[in-house]
Amino acid sequence: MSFLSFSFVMFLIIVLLLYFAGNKNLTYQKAVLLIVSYIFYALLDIRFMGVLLLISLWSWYIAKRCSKKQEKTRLYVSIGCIGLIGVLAFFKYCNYVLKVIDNYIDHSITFNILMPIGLSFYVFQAISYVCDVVHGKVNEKSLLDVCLYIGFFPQIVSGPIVKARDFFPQMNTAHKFSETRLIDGGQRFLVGAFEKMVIADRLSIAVGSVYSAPAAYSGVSLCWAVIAYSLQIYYDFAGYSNMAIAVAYILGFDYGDNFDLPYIASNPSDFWRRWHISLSSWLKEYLYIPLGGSRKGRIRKYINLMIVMLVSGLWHGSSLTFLIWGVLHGLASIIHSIWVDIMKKYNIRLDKYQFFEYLSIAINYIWVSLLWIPFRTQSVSDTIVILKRIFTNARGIQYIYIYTVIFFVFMAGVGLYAKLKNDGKSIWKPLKFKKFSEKVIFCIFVIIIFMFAYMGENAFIYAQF
Amino acid sequence: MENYYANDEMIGYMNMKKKLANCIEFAQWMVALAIAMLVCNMFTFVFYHPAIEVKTDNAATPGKMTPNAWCIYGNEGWGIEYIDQNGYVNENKPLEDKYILAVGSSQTEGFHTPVGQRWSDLLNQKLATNDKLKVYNIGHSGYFFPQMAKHFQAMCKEFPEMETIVMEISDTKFALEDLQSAMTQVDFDENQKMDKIYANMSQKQKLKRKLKENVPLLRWLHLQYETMKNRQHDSVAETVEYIDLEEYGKLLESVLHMMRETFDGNVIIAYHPSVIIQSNGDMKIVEKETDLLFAEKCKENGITFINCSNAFKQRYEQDYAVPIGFWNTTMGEGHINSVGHAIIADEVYKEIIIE
Repeated sequence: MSFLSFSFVMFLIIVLLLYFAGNKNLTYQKAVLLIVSYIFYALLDIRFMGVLLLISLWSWYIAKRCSKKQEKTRLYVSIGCIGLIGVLAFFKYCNYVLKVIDNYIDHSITFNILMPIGLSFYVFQAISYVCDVVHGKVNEKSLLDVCLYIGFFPQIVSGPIVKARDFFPQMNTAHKFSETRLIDGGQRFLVGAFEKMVIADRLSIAVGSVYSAPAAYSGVSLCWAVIAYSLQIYYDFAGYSNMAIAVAYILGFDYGDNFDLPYIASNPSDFWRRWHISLSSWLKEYLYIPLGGSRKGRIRKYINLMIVMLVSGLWHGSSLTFLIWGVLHGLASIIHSIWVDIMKKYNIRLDKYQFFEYLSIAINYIWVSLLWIPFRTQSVSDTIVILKRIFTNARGIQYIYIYTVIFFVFMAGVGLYAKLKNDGKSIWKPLKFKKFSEKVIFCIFVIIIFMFAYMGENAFIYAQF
Repeated sequence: MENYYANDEMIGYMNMKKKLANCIEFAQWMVALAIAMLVCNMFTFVFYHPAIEVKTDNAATPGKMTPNAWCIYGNEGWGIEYIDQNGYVNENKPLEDKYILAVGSSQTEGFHTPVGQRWSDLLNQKLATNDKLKVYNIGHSGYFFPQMAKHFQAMCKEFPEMETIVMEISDTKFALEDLQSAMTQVDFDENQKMDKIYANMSQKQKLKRKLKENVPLLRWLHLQYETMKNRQHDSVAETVEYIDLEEYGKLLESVLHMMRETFDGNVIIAYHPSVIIQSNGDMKIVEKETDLLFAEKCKENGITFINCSNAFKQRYEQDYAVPIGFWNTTMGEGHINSVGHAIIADEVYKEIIIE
């Protein structure tokens, strides 16, 4: 059941009615949310309910053991996290390992292991719960609470990855129906739908056709296809995140933004503060800082940066291209870090000059977009073909998809406006409908979504991770 | 007691005020929706203003469009076209005494290609000797070979002065029942000529059509809804999975023979196949098992069969020009673009000159 379906709208209406019917009874509300979350997950694919339940039980049990502050806490945390990562690794890399083995034997392995939807996201949430309990950031919770935290339906498919310490305090207050939340959340949901259906899905047509036969297209066409994919992946994921955040918001939960105009980032670390914020901050808090962060000298800092980006790459999948993607992002982060150190040492401040600011945005965007190539192709040879054809301006089919140009200008316009008028922060604010003109704008926006939505079949990109 | 009444009155007043505020709020939303619809409708004119059709079961084509109208299709390519007084997509110019009839599906209708770039327009540019039309386009959306064959006699009666008929097809494989059905010819009814249809139309019907013409937004939203409903449906041509080749050959033979018997002028069938852009960079022509049989049967019945496959391939090898697809869709999918139209025009022209 996709967020963008009539059945989901019906599902949400029923959930809201049931949920707010008992707005003074916390346990009732939790029970409703847990039941509907599991129904939602079962409707996606009933076969993986067991995995979700197992992960929830495991993290609840480990946290219970750890919270007693025994001598063996460290051991339990290690076993707990290894167990959780083990499940994730099994589903993510098993097919890859089987493929390798199959190449050495008689090509008789014919089965594939399916990965449970959203596993990468809820395993990270489970780890967050265990770690937060160990560090005393949250108290040990009941099984009902843990199951709800890990299986909460708005975020289960593709995040955002909500940290335990951010979620539980919100869960422990009964939520009353709020018209403001419904109006604001509804608008955010529509913005997400616009990003997904109008922008991302429309771009997917061009991206799909060019990436399926890169050797046929000219260098210029491939350049535009690379731009198209950079926009597609952003609007697809940001669109999904906005919808998930909106649904949670209507139910009374506040999540932070998951994206904040990432393509106006002027350097790699700025980019990761703006792109998939929930994953970046999770990696920072549960990996980079425990590894020592920047506290243990420059070399350790660089190594830590590389480890974090490698894990980020591997989190996305087992393909070699994700590893390359992670390594190159890690490399960029290290180079940027060295650059910052040099600038500091010689007391040079280039950020004073607007030209350098915009130049660094352009360089960062180009770098990030080029790294989306292996991410999209999931094949080293196709990546090489595309890069070679771009840099040699090879002859081929001339194909510049008009919507890529339109949405690129749109994105650049929004970014520029945010940079100039809002200090580079997102400019979106929900309408309050106090003025008549706001009502007209809203109606036009809704009609535009229906007018320009791509009506073909298209899944959310990040649901595969 | 007095206070009690005053309080009651106050509550009533407040309730009424609240109701009034709700009514105003609701009215504001309705007006806002109306304004939004109006704005979006105006915007729709830029990319979608379809032709309104009249069903004509007993004419050369199963439908004709509102005469002297204009239409825009921007969902695949972008083309602005004019509908002539007969309800077809041609310039309002007189026909030459003897002319060529261009028949086909939406590909020939060419809504997706700008005026002057469709194969019938290009052929006109090459063949017309004065300011008259030499090639007359009666392309109609969804008008595939079996339907064209079914309307063949009606076509000859409605356009008695044609000297050549060029039928554009994008497939050679048809369902046997469709071919069988083509043998039952539709009768031509004089009343289904556009001038007579319009003369017989009531003012109410005309007004209704005018209204429909000026609210393209609703038609566009309906189209969006239909697309969503039929996600997997191929809009260009229905594909037939399996056919008995022997039976197919027999049926095709009788259809082509009937056509030959009905019309003694030149009959040309211009076939343009589908293409696939392959991962190695080549463009593959989609060949059907019926292609050769179709060509053979045409030859046996004195019908010229043009296969554009080689011309498509050559053009791609020469400058990577793909005959199908647009800048707002994908290459190799959907309708033929201006490259495809130019190739078909060249191929048909060569054949006409030879003849």
